[in-house]
Amino acid sequence: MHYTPTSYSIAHTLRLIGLCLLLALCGTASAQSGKYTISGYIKDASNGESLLAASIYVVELNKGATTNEYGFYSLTLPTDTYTLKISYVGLATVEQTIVLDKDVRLNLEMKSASIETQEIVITGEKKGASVESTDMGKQTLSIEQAKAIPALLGEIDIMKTLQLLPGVAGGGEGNSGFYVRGGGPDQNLVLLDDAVVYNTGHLFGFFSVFNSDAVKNTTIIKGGMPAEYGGRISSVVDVQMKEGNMKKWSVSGGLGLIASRLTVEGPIKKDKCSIIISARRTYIDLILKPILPKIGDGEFAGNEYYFYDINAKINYRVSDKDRIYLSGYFGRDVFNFTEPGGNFSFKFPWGNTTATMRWNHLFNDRLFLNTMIMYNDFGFTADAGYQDVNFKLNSKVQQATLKMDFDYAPLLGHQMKFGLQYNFHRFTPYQASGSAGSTEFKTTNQDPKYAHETAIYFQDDFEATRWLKINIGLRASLFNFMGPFKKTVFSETGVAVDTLDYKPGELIKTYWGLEPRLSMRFKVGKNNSIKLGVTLNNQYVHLVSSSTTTLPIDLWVPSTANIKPQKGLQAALGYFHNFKDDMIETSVEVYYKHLWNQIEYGENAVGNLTIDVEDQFTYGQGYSYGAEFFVKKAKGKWTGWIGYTLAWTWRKFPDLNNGQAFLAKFDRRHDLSIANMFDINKHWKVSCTFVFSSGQRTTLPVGYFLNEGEPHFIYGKRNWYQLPAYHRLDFGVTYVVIPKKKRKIDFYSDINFSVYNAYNRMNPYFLYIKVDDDLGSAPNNGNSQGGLSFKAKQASLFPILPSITWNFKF
Amino acid sequence: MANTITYIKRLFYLLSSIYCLTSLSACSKVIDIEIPNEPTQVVVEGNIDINSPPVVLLTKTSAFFGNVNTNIGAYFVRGAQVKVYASDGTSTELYEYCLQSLNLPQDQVDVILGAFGFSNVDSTEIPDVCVYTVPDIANFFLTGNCSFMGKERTTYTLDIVAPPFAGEGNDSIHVTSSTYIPSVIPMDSLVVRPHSNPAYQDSMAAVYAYITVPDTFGNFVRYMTRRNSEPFYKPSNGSVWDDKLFVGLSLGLPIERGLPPKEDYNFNTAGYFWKGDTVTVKWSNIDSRTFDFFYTLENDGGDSPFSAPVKIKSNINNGFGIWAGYASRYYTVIVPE
Repeated sequence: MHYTPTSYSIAHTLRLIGLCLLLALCGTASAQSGKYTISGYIKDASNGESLLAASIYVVELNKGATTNEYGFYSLTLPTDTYTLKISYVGLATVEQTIVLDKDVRLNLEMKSASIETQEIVITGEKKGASVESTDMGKQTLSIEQAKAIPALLGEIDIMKTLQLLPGVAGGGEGNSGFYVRGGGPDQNLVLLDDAVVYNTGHLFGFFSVFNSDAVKNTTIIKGGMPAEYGGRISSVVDVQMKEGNMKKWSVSGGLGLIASRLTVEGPIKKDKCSIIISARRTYIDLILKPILPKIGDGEFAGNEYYFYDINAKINYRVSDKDRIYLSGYFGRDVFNFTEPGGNFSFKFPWGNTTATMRWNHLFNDRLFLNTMIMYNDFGFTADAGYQDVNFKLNSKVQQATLKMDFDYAPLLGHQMKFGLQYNFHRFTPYQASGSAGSTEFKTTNQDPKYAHETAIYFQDDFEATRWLKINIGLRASLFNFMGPFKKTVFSETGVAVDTLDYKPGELIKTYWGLEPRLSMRFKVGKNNSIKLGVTLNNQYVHLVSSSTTTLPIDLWVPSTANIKPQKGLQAALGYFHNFKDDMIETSVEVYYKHLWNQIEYGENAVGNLTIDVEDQFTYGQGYSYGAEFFVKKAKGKWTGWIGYTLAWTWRKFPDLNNGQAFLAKFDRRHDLSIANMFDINKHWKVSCTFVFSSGQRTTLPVGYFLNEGEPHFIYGKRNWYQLPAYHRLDFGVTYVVIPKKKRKIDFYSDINFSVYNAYNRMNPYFLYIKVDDDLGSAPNNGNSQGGLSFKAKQASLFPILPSITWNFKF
Repeated sequence: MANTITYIKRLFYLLSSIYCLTSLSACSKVIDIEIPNEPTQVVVEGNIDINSPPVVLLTKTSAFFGNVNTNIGAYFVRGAQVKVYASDGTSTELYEYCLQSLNLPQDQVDVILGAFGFSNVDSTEIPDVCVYTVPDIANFFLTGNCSFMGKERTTYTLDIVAPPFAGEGNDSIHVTSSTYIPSVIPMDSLVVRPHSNPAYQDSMAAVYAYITVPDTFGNFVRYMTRRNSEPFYKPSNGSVWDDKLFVGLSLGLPIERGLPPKEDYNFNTAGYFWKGDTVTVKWSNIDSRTFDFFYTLENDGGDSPFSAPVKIKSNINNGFGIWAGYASRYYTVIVPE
């Protein structure tokens, strides 16, 4: 039977929507009589932004609920009179008495705590959340927290801030990829307003694609991934954009050493519709333009690089039950290189695009629906010319998504979620075409690949007993690799031996899987708990890279007849203890993770464009285990944390390293991060961070052989050598200018001075072997014909780098 | 064009070094590393061309930081038994000839040394290079004929028994390989065209090969170039092409001048020939395994943020290197003054 993509996807999607609605209606019908529901939205009074994870606590029952990411909450209780305490750290707690003899809608706008009682906080979590919740390995970072941490050249980078958390290893300087508990960089589900971001770095990862002025919160889930998330096997990084100020217009921005930012936000209609537009651009191209011709022999003169990005969001409150958000991101890196003589030119733009439309709908007081339609893509185009040969190379990954998430709170203590997701994928591998004079040519075997990915899920977070809280979920996923697809099959000798030709909509390969998720919290005292989490995840898309940094030419590929889906099983056990009224949070987590169907390029692969890329892959397994220690001081003038991870990360591939297990490149035996922020007074803030991690692994040559008079390397066991350890101290000082008098327009600004790598550590970027080749050029009576000498050299990137940034808001 | 990805990575590396405010070379330092001991292996550098005898150079792998070899002779494997078998049933045993004891004419010495990367060697300072070739190699130099020469569409099997390396056991080492000489697919023409940079058009020019690629896959080419009486050198941006981009097409592709070992790469001169040059292009059809060897060899960038180490795809069993069959034709053009 043949399907067309359209009929296939629509049929599946309709079936799933029907199933979800049925579940919703069943759930609603099962609500018990004699009970009523209090529900509503919690917002920040100053700007109308929704508050995520605000606490609604029922004093009489000693129980409560939290708001979802849209600020919605729902509590179903027996008829009675209740005292509700609504709290959000940093905002004044609201206490309200409710006579519950009917369903009640309670929308609240929370105001800032008074100056006298205001506490400095580093996250917006509810009180005791780390001990009370079933969340494991979950941290929410407010953008204020990220801004408080010193950054490279003053560019705030939430991805680098996340890497200060235990269990999250960075790829080193110049790498935006991150590795969570031994997983690869493609195994992290990075979402911007629910749209997948395939590449999170500008300038090959030196800077993050997320503009700090447009971001509200960032949440990372390292383990115990709830069933609502899927498609990746290691972690979730959920970046939420600001919604735009519903109360008044404001302009904010910053001038830095290499980039500037500008954000405009405000109400199109007060408390009804708001908009935010934020843009950022680097000007390193302008700064370096006069310098480049003077470097070397002027060979860099034709070099130009810059990046820019734009975030925009509109949020419209249609009614008390309906709300619509439109948001988008567009970012590009542009690299142009023209050899001064005009022999060779190269144009290379690349970047992400995301677009999200969300519709929040309240069916009733207990059932909340968020429907999302999203599009995202990432790709690059390279135009190169050498003499009269022109060459064009492009690659793109595109995804269109329909997602429906239902939040359902049938009973006090139960927070259910269920929903469905449908993704349409289009993967364009390296597609090359060109011309030599008037003759045109193009690659074979590089046609786009199409796939449909569908998932349904259900999860419930509930208190089974006073001491036991459970989050149980199940996700079922289905992946279909579809035509059109054409491939010429080559023999080992390069002769075409077969042609595969699938028609549009023709099913080529199907995979499916059940993904159970379980997290349990055992309360063992007022301030302590033990948590256990087990998750099984499937991932149907894969990133393959022949580099250790995340480059735009890294390739995303779908599961196909040859490439099986990645599977990840993670088990984690943790002990959580808070001290001093939650001022100090501590945790210890141990984990084991096993990964199946991992992909690497084969040992002989050189990225040959003329071969189907999957013919250059090899497949294997991975496993990792470790312990994470975390101490966080969450409140007070001095805040910060210490995170330490002891971990092992292994890979085992039959066709790599002679089939023996080897330590992954990003294996970090020890990883220590210390972050400190101190507010001296309302004007002065200081911060410093220190990081230490064991050196990353690398494959160095162990010898050489000669061919045509030149030495060529023979490599040793995979990743056999460990680079020297990486450590670095950064600090920052911020002076906040506060207007002395209240004016019609208040102008706030601050000046941040940061020093990156304060003690000028020459951290290893990579090692290389320098060959001094005198072979064949200095003969000496046949006995000393010159020779070869080799030196191992370490390249480093950033020395001590001071920077200054001016930020403003009015 | 096939190694575009490698090339893009090189440009990224360049870009990152510029924009990291500092040149990587300025931020590098020598460090000491301890290299694990690896057993020594035989390295084959052998070829058989149409109408030419087989020539095999046997060397051995070397460790990096041990005693640095200042004597080229220390690399060679001496006293091996080397045989070549053809698929047409003929065979030959190769004899070991060491240049220092041969008293060959200088032009023949230059040809042999040039093939192994030596240039402008004075007759009094001939390196201690040893090769294995047919017993009547002198006939070949005198008459162009000898007892065993390569033919098109023939498979050649190499069988080597080398003595054990000192201190690494007593068993001799058995190394084998085979290669196939495909049919010659001749170039249509070799044409001189102006340099693409007007500033260099008075002194240099480009050379293009016009080719018609068969419409069936499985054709591979290696080329090298020679200026005047210099040895043949391979181009720095890759000496091998496969036909997957060009199958069934007639087109002209730039021939990049082979770069002598000590010449620095320069965009304006590296690919071009000087006016007055007699340019000879050695245009060789090869088999897929020979292509794989040179393609992986020429694209290994080491383990860095911008590249991964490439294990060179050798066709040698129980050793390293290449046993290559060539179906070569030579094309000459003079770059007008």
